[in-house]
Amino acid sequence: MHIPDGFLNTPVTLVTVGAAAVTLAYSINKVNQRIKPEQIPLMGLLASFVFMIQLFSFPIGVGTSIHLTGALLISILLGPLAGFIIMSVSLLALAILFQHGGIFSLGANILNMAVVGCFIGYGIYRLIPGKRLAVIVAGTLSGLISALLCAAELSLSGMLEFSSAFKTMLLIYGVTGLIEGVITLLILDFLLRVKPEMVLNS
Amino acid sequence: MKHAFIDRHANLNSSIHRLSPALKIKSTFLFLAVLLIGLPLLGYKNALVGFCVYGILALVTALISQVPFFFLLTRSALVLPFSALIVTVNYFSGNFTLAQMVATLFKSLLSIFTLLMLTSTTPFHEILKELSRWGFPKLFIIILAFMYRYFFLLVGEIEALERALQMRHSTVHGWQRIKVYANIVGLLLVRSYERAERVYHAMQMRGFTGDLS
Repeated sequence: MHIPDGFLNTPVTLVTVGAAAVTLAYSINKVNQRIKPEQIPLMGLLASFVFMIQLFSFPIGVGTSIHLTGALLISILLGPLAGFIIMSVSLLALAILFQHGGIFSLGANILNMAVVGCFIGYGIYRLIPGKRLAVIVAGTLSGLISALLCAAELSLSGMLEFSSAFKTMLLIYGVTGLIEGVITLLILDFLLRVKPEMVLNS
Repeated sequence: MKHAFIDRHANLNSSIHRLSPALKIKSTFLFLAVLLIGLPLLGYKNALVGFCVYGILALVTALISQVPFFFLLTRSALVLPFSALIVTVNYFSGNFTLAQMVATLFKSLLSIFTLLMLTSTTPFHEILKELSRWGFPKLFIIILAFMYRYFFLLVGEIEALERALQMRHSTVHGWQRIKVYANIVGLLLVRSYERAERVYHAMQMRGFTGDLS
């Protein structure tokens, strides 16, 4: 969920923007040190890809549609640091070009989706030995953590009482996260069939 | 194929479009700061008056800019599902008064409207030029530029894939359909990789060595 402008108070805004900016500066610095020239257009194209799939809702019947955030997928393919930069770029572009999320709440959205998906999700993925299970667990847990953070930010801003809508939100995000994990796994399977070097090189 | 449809009104010619991009970006930030940080300090009743004044200013700016009003309205309405949900939950749980509810709805609509005015009057590459002048990292700017440049090609690809799917494969539901979605996204990813390779070769041809400065 992209939090729009107007739902976070000043302290929450400042803390989240600060945290996101520091993480982004660190990642860009690290990536700059060992980036290969061919990775520059690749990161750009993948940012476009993430931007695209976040906008593209795919109907799966019974009135529901799904879409991926792509954070876990990109991090598995390119590593968490590059993945994080790509996610942040897409979130910024979604905010200024498509009004999905706001500018002052961009810090919070980067924390909830990019930091959680790329660092925490990828960390969980690395920790679990069975890689197929790891993708699904990482997807589900990052969905849940993302919901927790989002709820915490909103309730600290006085926009949500932690008890009321919280259980529903957690349930929805758990399911969304599970779907993200399953689809990420399906996509990795597809890549292994079609262009295995994309997965095996990473 | 529809090129440059993302910021499609940014190339109109009005007195607002002719203002310098730096001025427009800075004033957008200033306006948003007033709206999101300044006015709420006054308490909900007074802020509501402030929001009305702000709203009138925003409407006047929109009229001068000649950006189609319907476009601004429908795009701003994108925020409504989220804000309506939050506001009603809070109202019915007794956390919000009516004034607070209206103020919150108003605030989120106006902030999205403000941002929309910036992107509808300033071409994206001008915004990027300004950000890079302010010292944003080169890598960040270049990825944003690539993203904007290739987005419409990806849209074209996904539209073609969807059309093909509708023609040949429309009766599949449930789990199978989730698999189809995964395959579409996977295919898009493969094509992005391959396109990145071709783009890199073209850049190499023109003498690109990976130096961003």
